[in-house]
Amino acid sequence: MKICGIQFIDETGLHDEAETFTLITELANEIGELPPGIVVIEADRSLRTAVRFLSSLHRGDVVFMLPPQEFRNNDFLEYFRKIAGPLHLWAIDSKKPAISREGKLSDKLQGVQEAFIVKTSGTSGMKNKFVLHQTELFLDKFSQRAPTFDRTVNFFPPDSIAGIEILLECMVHGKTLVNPGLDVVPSIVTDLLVKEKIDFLHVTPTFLNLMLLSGGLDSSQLINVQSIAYGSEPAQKNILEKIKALSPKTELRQIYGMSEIGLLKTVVHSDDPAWFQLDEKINPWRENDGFLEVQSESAMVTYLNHEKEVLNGWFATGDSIQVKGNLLKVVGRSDDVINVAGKKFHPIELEELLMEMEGMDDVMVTAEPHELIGNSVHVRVSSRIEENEFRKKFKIFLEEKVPAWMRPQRVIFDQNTDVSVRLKKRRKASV
Amino acid sequence: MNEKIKLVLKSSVERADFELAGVRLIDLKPDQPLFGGKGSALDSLNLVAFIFIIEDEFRKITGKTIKISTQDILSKEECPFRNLGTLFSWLDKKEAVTK
Repeated sequence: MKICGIQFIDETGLHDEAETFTLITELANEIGELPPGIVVIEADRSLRTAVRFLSSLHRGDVVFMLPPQEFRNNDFLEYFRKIAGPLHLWAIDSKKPAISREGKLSDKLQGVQEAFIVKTSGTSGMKNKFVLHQTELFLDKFSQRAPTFDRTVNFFPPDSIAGIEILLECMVHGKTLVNPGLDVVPSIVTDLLVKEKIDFLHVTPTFLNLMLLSGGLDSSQLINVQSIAYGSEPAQKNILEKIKALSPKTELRQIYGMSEIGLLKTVVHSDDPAWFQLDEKINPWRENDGFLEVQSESAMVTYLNHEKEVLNGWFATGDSIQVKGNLLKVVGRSDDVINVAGKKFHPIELEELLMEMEGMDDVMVTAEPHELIGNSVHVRVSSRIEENEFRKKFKIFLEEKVPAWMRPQRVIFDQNTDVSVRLKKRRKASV
Repeated sequence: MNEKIKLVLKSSVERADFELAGVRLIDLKPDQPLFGGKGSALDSLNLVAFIFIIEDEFRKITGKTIKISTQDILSKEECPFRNLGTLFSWLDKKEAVTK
């Protein structure tokens, strides 16, 4: 497997491919021989982390990157050690990984080289699945797709599948990764768009919304941006429409990806960017009982702590979708489905419906378990309309537009005009 | 007649009519079916919403917090939500035993 250098821009300036390749190969030699085990890197968005990751792969190691909080969590490390085996911990301030012989290497890792592990996202570290990827298989897909950008922001955490994918894509295609620094905040990313001539921005829909709400994002900042990709959570149509209005020439791309299959190439529907198409030649897909199943040659090898969820080559994503011809739209995860008296829907379906009401500034839908009807639906709304007037209109809207089983049992009214950010944060925290 | 509970019920009915889609309770006589019987004013989804409203109004007016468990009330021989009359009696007793 060929590991090359990467173009990286940080606060000290540009580090070109030749410079970073030298750093990678020198570091790979310095580490020396390691006993069987996993190299666990305390990861941040810095060039140092990128070099450590690539040099470990270059040596043939199995690598697992962790954010500092988890790297320093002994309970979590012990839990992972029992699953995977000896962990050679590489702290941010250490020049080399600390060698460990504690534990027995997992049978699933025997003989495995040039691989990396990512953990699935979740609210509790102990409930994560650990996903093993063979780097060569993972890199194969980049040869199947032409480079689509020149410079991008290192937005996603380095331990996430999106962070790893963007790093490897920049390496394979010789593109430039721009480090936003430790705190990835909307104003910094907005400034980088112009300062570093970013032509590809890949963020989450919530972060896009934050960039819009911070007031700093206007069409002049988007002048170089050819393409904006969004993923990790369902995107609200109104956010995408606002971006489109600011910069009609900027292509909006739904990124579909998971820790198990990486990020898949998509084409977005021109009228509604929430709908997208997968490249069926690379990733055949099908709907099974409302959920998406895909095939991907760059999919994981296995889970370290779980049975593989692949049947006859089809990976069950757990994402609930709507299908229109060859277009699909992700509406939520199997675990955030609201079930009211046997009728199922996702929060975003109701949110999109309610956003159509005149005077509705923002809305957040949550559910609570209920002994009689399964889930009770709770809606928090924000409007500039006076509360009584709003409730009167809201009742009429519910009667005319919303099916009875999707109607909320509790409505909390918020008069504030700028609550979008708060609402999103609360829902994320409550999931 | 417990005036506070009378007020809880009156406010709850007014709020339900004002806020809940497809609900009209204001003209309901005390012995007309509220929930569970033929021609009831509330279905199960609206019953849950109505219970949230009663809990709110009960707290506001009596200063006491009650949690109405639908499982408990529906398993009773005589459902308190059968009509507004039975609901009044049940809330009256509930208020007396709630600190």
